[in-house]
Amino acid sequence: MSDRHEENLARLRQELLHYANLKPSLAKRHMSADEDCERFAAGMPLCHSCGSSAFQQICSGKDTLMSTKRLVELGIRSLDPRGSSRVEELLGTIDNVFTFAGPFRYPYTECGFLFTSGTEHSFAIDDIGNTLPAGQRRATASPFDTGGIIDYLLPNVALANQIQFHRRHEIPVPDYRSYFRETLSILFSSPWHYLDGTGPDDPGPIEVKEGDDRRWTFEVRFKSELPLPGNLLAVFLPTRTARQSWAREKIAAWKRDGVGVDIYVPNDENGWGTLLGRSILYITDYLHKLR
Amino acid sequence: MNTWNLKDLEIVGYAESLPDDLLPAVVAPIYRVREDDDTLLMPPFDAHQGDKVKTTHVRRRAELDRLVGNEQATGIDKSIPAAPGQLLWIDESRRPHYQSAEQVRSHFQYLATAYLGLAREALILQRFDHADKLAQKAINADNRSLDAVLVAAVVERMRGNNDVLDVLSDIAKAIDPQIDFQQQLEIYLEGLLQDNRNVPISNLTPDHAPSQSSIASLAEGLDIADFPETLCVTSFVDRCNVAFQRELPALLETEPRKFVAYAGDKRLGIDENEFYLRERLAHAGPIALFYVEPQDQELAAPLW
Repeated sequence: MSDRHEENLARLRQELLHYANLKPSLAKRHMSADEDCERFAAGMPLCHSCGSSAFQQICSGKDTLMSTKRLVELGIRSLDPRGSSRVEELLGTIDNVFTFAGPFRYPYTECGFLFTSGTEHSFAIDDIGNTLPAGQRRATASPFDTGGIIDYLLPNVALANQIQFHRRHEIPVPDYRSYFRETLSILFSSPWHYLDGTGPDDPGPIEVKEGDDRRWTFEVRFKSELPLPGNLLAVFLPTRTARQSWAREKIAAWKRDGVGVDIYVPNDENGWGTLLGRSILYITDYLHKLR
Repeated sequence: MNTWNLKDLEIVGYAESLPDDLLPAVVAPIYRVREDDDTLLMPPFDAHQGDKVKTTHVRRRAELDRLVGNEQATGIDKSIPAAPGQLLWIDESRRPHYQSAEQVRSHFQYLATAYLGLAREALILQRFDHADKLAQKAINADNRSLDAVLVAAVVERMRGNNDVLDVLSDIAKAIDPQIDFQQQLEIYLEGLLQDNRNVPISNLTPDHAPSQSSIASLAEGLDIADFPETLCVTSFVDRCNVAFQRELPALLETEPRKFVAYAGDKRLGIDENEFYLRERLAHAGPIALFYVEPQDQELAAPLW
């Protein structure tokens, strides 16, 4: 039986390579891609940002990121049709936990979690360690922020076509990282431009021309729950949050487990301005060490 | 990047969803363009001085709803006209205030100082949880407050949580990368002990104040045996001029101000709060304890 996710991945790779072949400068860049692209694509952590209230709820609760559906089931959050749940319901992603490959992007909020790239592997195997068929894995990737499809990336397209577009770009985890590597080497003049937010210097073949960094940021969605233990690479939080009695106990435990903890002084008056820079520095250092 | 005049904007929310524990707080406003109800300006702002705002994050009205639904932002019920030189802050009852930056900074500095003062008093009274909560309010008001971190460190040292002390050292280093946290903690403790000497006991209302019944029980003379020059053995007292058959913490509670302790020739104090703090926090080494009755017979340091 064919697997839609694998077929999508094969098609997207083919389209990207074909696109590069039509543009000699891109083909040349792809041929001369350095090891940075490989390292970036293989090791790029996954981020999930949240406000202080959600951070507290995650850390003092089940130590797990939960999908909107799970949060509602457990009575932690009410189903607010104004929030992301509307788009998630339309796209069938309401039982997904959302992460993004790379640093925290808009809105950066105050707190954030970085997960290792290896997190994906445990969602791609069964209970005895066998790799699951792509369509049965408990995680899926997309080469853009799916939350932006309906309102921002494809705003003037019929809903049925938006949903179809979404389904045609769901690709398997962790296999998508090979496509991620090719995207970096073909569409970006440097893989560092993915990290620092400069973005690609060529829009590429995917028919999304609107939008900001949501257009080219790879999204990885986990089914239902994403546990922090064993998956966390680093946590970012401001001084006042870190100082809270429950938080410092938690931070001590994270440090014992080898999780990086980045505590910073926030700029309250400007908001959302610090987390991006901190995470870029952290990921840069992390990727350098993977050499 | 686009630029707007503040006079054309109004505040409809802020870029955080804060739990009660993190209030009061200055927050970043989310603006709505007055003449275009569907256009919002989101932080971070590249310039937010004078009468202009610059941002790359221009969004539709629905974006605020989405962020609020995701607990990434908070809406405010009644929009506030934007004005130059103002800051938005949220009080402990979750009411928004919009005042001159100078006024807000001054108010928050006052709050931080006041909460730290109260936290310090609470520490002296050994009301550690209360002290911790008060100091949290101080760092909410001033996220660079080292003293708020030091109060937490005193509390954690009392609890023997060395792992957590490391975390507090990390927080202090985020505020001041050059800080010698251990040294600062010792200085803070020394100041705390000094303050304790200067606080009239009548002004204190400790959590563990001796009750009338415990004093009455002691007065029956059953618990203290008067054996001068006999050593009292506790976990941290080397010697004592009186032998006691009760544990020292209980005696300190029931016989306030009748003890004096010395580490070498350094007087450590005569009431339970100070002595207890010194022993538990400062690891002062061998301690000699004296029971002085009546209290005014303590004239000078003993020659041991």
